[in-house]
Amino acid sequence: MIQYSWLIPTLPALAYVLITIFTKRFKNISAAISILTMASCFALAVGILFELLKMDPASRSVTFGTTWLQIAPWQANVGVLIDPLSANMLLVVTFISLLVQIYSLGYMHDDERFSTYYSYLSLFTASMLLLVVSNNYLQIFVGWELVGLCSYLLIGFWYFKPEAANAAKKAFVVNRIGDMGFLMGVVTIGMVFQTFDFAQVKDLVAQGLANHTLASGYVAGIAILLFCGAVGKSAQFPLHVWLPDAMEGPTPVSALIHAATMVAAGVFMVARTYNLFSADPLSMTVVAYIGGFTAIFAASIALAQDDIKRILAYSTLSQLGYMIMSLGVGGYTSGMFHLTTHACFKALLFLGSGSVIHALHEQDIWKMGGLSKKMKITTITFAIGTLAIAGIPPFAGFFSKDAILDAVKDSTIWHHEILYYAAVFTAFLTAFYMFRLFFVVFTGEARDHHSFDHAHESPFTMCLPLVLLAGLSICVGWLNWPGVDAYSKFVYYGDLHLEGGASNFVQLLTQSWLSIVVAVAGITLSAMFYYWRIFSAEKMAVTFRPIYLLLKNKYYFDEFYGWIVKTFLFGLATILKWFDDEVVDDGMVDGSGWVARKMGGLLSLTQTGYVQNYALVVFGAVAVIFLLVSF
Amino acid sequence: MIQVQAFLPELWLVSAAFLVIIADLFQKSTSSKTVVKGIAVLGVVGALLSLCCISGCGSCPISACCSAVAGNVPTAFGGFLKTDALSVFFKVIILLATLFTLLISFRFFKANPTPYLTEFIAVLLFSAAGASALTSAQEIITLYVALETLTISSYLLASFMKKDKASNEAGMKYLLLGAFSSALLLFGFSYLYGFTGTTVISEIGKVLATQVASPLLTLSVIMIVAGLAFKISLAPFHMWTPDVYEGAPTPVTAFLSVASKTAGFAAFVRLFWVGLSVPALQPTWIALFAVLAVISIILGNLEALPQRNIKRLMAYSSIAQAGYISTGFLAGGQLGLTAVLFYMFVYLFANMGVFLAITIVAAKTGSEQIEDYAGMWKRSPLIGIMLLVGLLSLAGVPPFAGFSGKWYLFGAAISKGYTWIALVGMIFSVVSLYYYLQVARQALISAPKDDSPIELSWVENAVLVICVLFIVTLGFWPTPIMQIAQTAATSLFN
Repeated sequence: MIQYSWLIPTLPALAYVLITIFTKRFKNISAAISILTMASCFALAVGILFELLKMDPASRSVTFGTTWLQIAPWQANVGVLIDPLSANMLLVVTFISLLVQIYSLGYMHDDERFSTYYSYLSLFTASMLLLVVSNNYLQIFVGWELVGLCSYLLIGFWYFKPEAANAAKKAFVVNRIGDMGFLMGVVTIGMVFQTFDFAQVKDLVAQGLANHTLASGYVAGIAILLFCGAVGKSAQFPLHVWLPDAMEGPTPVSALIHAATMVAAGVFMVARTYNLFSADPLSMTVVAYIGGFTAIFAASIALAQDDIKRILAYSTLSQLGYMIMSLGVGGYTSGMFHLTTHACFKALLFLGSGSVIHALHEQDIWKMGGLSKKMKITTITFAIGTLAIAGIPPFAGFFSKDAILDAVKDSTIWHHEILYYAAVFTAFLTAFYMFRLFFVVFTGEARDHHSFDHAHESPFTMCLPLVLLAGLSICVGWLNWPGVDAYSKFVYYGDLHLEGGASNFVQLLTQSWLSIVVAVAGITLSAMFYYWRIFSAEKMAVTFRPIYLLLKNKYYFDEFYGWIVKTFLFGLATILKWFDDEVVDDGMVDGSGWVARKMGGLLSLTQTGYVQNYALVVFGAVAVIFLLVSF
Repeated sequence: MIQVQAFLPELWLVSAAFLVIIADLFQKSTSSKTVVKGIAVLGVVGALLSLCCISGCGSCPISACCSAVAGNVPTAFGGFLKTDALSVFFKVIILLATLFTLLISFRFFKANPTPYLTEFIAVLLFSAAGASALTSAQEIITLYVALETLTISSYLLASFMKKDKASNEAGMKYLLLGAFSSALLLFGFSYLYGFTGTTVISEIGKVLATQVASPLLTLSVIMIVAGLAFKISLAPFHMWTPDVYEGAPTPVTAFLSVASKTAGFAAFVRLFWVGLSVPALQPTWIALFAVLAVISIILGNLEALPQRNIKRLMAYSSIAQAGYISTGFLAGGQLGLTAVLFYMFVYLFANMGVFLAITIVAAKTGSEQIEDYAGMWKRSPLIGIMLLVGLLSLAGVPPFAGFSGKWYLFGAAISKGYTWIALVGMIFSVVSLYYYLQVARQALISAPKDDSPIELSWVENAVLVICVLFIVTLGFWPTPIMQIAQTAATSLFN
């Protein structure tokens, strides 16, 4: 099965081409092509997983490829690297993509550009899978950029809405800043190691570090450059600003790209190039602290947001922060495990919010309420997703989040206790704001009766993915049931190492009492505010008005960046524009163009049309050359 | 021993030419001559397939049934013809160009009916046979005879539109200047024979290796360069090109710009990198080529700027292209020659596609003026795309194949220390964008004066799509063809 793994990115790419060229006008055929290719990709991914499982754990890595471009001394290859890491990602991406595509059948049903939507989804998945299976830095960069492009196309899918068009631009520009660092990292790797191949670079780094021809600080520099890309794509602080705005895209897209897969690309990339990051404590510390800060920072913003999708967007930021932090403190397995569980429950939450939006045509949570009476399936599945993200055992989030906390606690990184308490506090905040969302939207009385009366449960194509994802949000965590540890024994870096080391479930519960307590505390507090209404959230907001405003306005980061751009960038641009208009354009461009055209005109005069002149030129040329060469 | 594989493609072409003439006797002069056309196409396709026997790839069924000579190079006539991997590569380009030319001529003569279509096809096939034989010639007399077979037929082709003044003028100019340069070439050859006492190219190399430079030897080399540079229209031996390209029937222009040029480069490669690659002469002719390449790039690109007739524009463009290819040629070695081969392959699809588009447009509108290409995109999307992709590839814009081709050409030049030539090439590639995009702009952006759609036959559709696909694919993924070109280039040095 592994020998067919190259098909996984190829099939959706073909689907994109087919839909774009041939089936634009036929909605159902387009959707069928897209969904069927994705289903086959998922089947392939499952096959690959089982083949890997059958292999010896020490040799679970298969790579093959072909030359793409030969530019001495570099060689650019296209290839496939299948190991537990990429098999894991393949499964997550194809599965979530499949469900989202099925869900979109209902959600996007009335859209005029239905076929285009499916073609973009296919192209996106193809790019993501290209990135995932890549066996070299260049190919991962190509996939990376394609993913960015698709994200732009899909956020701006409703480009006639100015907010959507702006959000798409913002996402693209902010990502470019990170990508610049990534590109510099890739180029540096090419210059230093003369190869882009993961395995070769890994060997060269190990050799260089062993015989001291390569300073570990140098490797850390490369790793940090690469990490810039991850900061952009995984929306870590300070490049986090694009992700909440990206919620202007269709909700299934938010679920697929901006929650479950694309934003995980940064995490995946760090995991893929882990040998560079782990070479030096500096790069690990940077990664851990950026991740830890993003986790608590985004969770605090989520407390004061009113838009259902934006709350989920900030929770995504916060959870991505967890994953990045986990990788930074050495918790490779726990980071990837959280990525996997998070993909399930976050896709579930987003699709659930899509179901709500589909029913009410409303995104403000303060205009919702009491939906549990109307939308049974959505409510139950959403509740499961919320319990999972809050980290309540035995839901999936509990296992992965607890593994991260264990990894942070056990790490040797600079002042890891700061990170630990931040992570624990983030868990509390997460439980609080997620249940705030749940209580406000699904319980109590309807606030807007008009839309409430029209609300209805979503069609089957939308409910089926919700139910499947809800099942997974309960079960996926059990992969790492204490004592079984199936996931930890599959995906790991270096030597096998089990976090926490609990041997049965009860032991795990007692070990992780703190995270359970804070989660329950968060939920209880949330219920006091928004379910039982013992406390009034409005009064709190008035009492702590400055803090409330700070959170509500996302610490004014958008305004701050806007100010920087307006003042410095536009100022510089004005000066450059003057230079360009006056000097470059009028002088150099027009001047050289004028000279070239005049020269061309003059030279054309030599073309007299007389054969004797032409012959004279030939003879004269021979004579002149002979004289020049001889003397 | 004569191994028929060594001249199998030529055999196919010549037989097809004779068959065409015989078949014509059984067709009414007013008929559409389907049989004649069919035989001609079959002849060229057969010649292409027969290359499998030569390269003896073993895996394809055709090579098995014609007793493949896998592994060894077929030779004939005492080693005067030797079809190695290099000549196979050149032959593929020439034969594909002939096939394209045939397709272009079918469209051309539909719009400009002539009773002499059969004769045109036969002469074209003879010409192609000459070009094809030239690539395997290991000896200067054989080379000369093959070259004359190619050019004398071309004189006929260029003046084929008897009642058209421009075509007559083109043929006459081509004949006079061609004869002049042939004389120069033969004169140079005679000196070479005088110095070495042999006509076999590899022997010439061995003899010259021990000799010191002398003015007469240098003169002989200069005359050979002048004679052959005429064929590839390298400045300052390019003067005929615009007049002939403009006046000749479009299929002939297409043939001259690709097949004739490829044959010229084939002769250059073998003569200079095998026969004259000796310490006494090499620095001289490399410097000479450097100067000629730079002059061609500058002159071709600058003079193309004010042109309004698209065929004349393509003539100047082809002069510049010859300059680019020469940079790879003079860099030489495996790297440079691989780049030359790859670029010629790419150039084939870009130029032939554009000329097919020109013919189709001219057949509909009767005009070759660039301003009449306005809105071509709306009249036929495929022609619009072909013009855009083909011309951008010629200009060397990524992601099209012309970019990777130029990358390899200039890369080879830089690796041998000729950075300044590469620099001139790059700067003037920017200049070339102006006139290439001028055409593309008319075709894609300007509003059409007449928006009646242009109908394409399915063959034309297919050929245009193939050209575009090749240009785009080779731009993204040049490696397969590069590897074949590498093998071909290596075979020269074995």
